[in-house]
Amino acid sequence: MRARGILLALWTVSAAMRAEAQSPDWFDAFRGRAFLQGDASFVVREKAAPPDSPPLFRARWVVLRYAGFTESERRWWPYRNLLLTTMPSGARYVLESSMGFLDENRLDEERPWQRVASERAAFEVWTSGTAGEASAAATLDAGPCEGMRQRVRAQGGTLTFLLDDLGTQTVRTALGEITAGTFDENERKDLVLLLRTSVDSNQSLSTELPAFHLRDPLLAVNVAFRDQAAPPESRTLAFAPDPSPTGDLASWRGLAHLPLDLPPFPAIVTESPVR
Amino acid sequence: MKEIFLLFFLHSVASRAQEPPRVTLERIVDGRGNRVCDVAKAELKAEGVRRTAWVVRGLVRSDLVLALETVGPASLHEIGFAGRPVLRLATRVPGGRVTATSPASEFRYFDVDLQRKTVRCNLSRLADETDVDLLAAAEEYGLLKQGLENGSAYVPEELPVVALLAAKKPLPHPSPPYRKSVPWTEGGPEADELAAAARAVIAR
Repeated sequence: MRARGILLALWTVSAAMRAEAQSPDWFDAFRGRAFLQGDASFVVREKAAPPDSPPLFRARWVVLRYAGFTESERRWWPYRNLLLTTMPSGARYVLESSMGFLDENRLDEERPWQRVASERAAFEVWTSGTAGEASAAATLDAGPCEGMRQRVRAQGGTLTFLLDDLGTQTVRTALGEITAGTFDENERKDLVLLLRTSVDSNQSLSTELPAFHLRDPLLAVNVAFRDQAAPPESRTLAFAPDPSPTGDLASWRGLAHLPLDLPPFPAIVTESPVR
Repeated sequence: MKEIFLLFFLHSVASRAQEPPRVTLERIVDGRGNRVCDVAKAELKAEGVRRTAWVVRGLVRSDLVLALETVGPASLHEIGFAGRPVLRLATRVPGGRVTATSPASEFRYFDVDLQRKTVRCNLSRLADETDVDLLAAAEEYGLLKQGLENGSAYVPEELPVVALLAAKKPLPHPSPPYRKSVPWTEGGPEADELAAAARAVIAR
């Protein structure tokens, strides 16, 4: 009887491990030594609110680079563009817009793109395929799944969709069901507030490619909560520099999967076109 | 969504004990009158439930089966080959959200989005999960409809074909082969066997 119990326990663990193995791990795509390319802290308030009013939430914008390719290709190393948000209640969320290690021979394989994580759940959007230009004849012959497509993976369900269809009733309804099954009521309330953040500032780390924008990680929450996306006139929350001292990133290490050691990313020297 | 399948199951149990289904037979012929395929259409109405089953024999290697069950405004469509897994399309109300179910997974969509690549991609995946020959069979059926001289527009029983054709979006045939539907009344063991196959689907 006891042996049967042990076997049952082993089978349960093995089944759970098999299920886990079927979903790729987001963080497997970020290999090699990590560097910190950007780190800035903000408070977010209503645009019309007085500057000394309490913030609606705090956000720390962090860009990580991973030594995925050779030094000469450093500009194109994998990146994670993160917005680490803290609500007045203490609830924390990680919004992420990322590009992992890319194998040009395996572009049809899924790769990380957008992620929203709370302390207890995550909503991930993976992307696969290429968006390349196609001739009219090739487009006619192409299968319905050809081209670039996205796959949502979350506790609340999965969905394969094409970004062009994000506004359709089919995709919006499915995303709404997935987020409802992934985040609890308080989390959804917090995350929907982020939809009201204005992206007018267009603040970026550099003017050269790849230009990492502060608004990029907000796309993750705009995909997840597409059915509640705010029209531009309702996006009345604005980022302002946080005057309080920036602490280290240790408290975010677990939730945001940050590496222990984060040396600064060396500046990329632009080569002169004339040698 | 489980409730809708339970609803169909309970009504099906109740309707099975009723009188035998009515079966009509059709033969599809080419321009020279040669047989292309035969269709048996069985129908059963009982206690607010309408069940139909079409068995198409000779169009593709296996019998293609289209089944429909309606309970009030709700409908459950099935498409597949005889004795093999089926793809199910269920709706609560006409024009409402459709739940497509293969033996491996499920996808829900609104009819208004049927031409969008997201729906086409997911439907074609479900069709392949159900049976790798299903999309090709739907395409053959669509070609048959295009060439049918006395053919009508698609009827509710054919909705799964319409959905799979939207998913596959085959190039329109420049000159679809001529086909004509004629009543098949001479009977015989071949006809009896096909009629029995349609009745068996209804009785499932």
